[in-house]
Amino acid sequence: MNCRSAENLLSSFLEDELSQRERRALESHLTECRRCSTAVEEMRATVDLLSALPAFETSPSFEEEVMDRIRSGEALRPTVIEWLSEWFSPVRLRPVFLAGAAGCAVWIALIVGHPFQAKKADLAQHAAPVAGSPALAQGSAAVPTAPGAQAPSPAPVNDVIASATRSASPSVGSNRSATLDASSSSAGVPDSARANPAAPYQDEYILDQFYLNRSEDGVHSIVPVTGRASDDVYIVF
Amino acid sequence: MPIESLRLKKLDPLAELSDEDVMERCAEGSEAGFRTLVQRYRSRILNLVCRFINDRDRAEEIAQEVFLRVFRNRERYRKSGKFSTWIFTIAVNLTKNEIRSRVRHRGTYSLDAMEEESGGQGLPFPDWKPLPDQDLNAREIQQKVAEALRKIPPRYREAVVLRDVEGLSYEEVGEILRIPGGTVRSRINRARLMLKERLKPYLKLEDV
Repeated sequence: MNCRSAENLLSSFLEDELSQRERRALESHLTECRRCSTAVEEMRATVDLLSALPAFETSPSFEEEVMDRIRSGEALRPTVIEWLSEWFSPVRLRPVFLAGAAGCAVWIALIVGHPFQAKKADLAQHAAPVAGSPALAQGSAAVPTAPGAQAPSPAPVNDVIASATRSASPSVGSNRSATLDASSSSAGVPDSARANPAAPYQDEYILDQFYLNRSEDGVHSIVPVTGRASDDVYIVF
Repeated sequence: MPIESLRLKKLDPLAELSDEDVMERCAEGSEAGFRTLVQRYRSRILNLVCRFINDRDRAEEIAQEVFLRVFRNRERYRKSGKFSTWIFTIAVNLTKNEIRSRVRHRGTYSLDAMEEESGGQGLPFPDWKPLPDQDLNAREIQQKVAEALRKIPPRYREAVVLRDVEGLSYEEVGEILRIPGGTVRSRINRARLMLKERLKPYLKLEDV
C-alpha cells in the first residue's frame, strides 16, 4: 500500500470500518511510514476538535416567535415552491399519468386499427358488385362450398375457391399447408384476389396440385391430386 | 424514584417519549408536542445552519422557518423514518436555497464575501461568558476550527458538519444529502484531511 491509498482509508480506519484485509494492509503501512501514522493522529485530533465545538444557543425569544408565527397562521400558508411541489407531487400526478397512458393506448389502438377498418370497409364496398355480377353468380353456383368454409352469403367465387383450397391443403404437403395455414390464420388479411376484384384470378396463387379431368361430354374439370371425394374441389371450364 | 424526577415526569409527559412519538402527537394536533420538538432541536438546527452559512442572524431566521415547515408538513411525516433525519433534511434544503439565493444576488459564491458580511470576524462565538485564562486558548482554538470549517468547499463542509459536529451516522448523512454511502465516506475523509492541514498548528497529538 502506498501513502495515497492509505490517505483514502484514514477516516474509515479511525471509525473501525475497514475490512480485515484493508486494516492489515494499512496497519502494515503505518508501521513503516511515519508520515501516515502522524496523519492518523492528526485526523483523530481534528475530529476531536470538531466534536468539541460549542453549540450556538438560540435567542431567548426563539420558541415564542415560532409559536406566534404558527398561531398567526403563517405556518399554514405554503410557499410558492411548496404549493407547486404539492400540486405536482407524484401522488397527485399518478392519476393524471394513468389517464394519459390510457388515452395514449386508446389513441394507438385507433391509429393501428384504422387501416384494417378502412380496408374492411373498402372490401365490403368492392364485394357487393362482384357478388352481384351475373357471370360470377353462375360460377358461384357451379362451385360447391367446401365443408367448414365460413363463406358469407353473397360470397364471391374466388372466396369460395380459396376456402375450398385451404380445406384441401393439409392433406397435400407440409410446405403448402404451412403457407395456407398462415394465410388462413391471419383472418384480417385479405386475399390478393379479393383486393383486386377486377382481375380475380391473376393474383391468386393456388399451390395445391391438381389434375385435369377430361370427360367425354367435353366438360373438363380440375381435381386435386389427393383425389378424395370429400375434397369436392372442382374448377369447371 | 426521587421526588424531583417524579415531579418532572408529571410536569412533562412528553419528556420520555422518542422524537418520533412526539412528532406523532404533534401530527395529531398537540401544541405541547411541537413545543417539545422545538426545545429539543432548536440549538442543533441553529448550529447546523450557522456552520453552513456563516450568518448568525439569518441562521436564526432559517431555523425558525425549519420549524414552521415541520409544523406545516406534520401530517406528511412517516414514523418509519427518523425524525432527526427528516428535520435535518429540511434544514439542509433551506440552507442550500439560501446559498443559491446569495449566489444569484452576488453572481458568485464566495466564502470570503460571506465572511465579510459577518464583519470579517467569522461568527460571534457562541459562549460570551468571561472565561478564565486557561480557557482563552481553548476558545482561540475553537475559533480557528470554525474558521477552517468555513474555508473548505461547501459539499465537504456539509458532510463533515453533519457527521462530526452533529454526530449523525454515515447512513443519515447520506440520506440527508441524498448521496450514496461511498460518496459520504469519501467526502468526510477529504474534509477531515483539509481541516487537518489547516489546523495543524493547533492539534495536540498523542505519542506517535
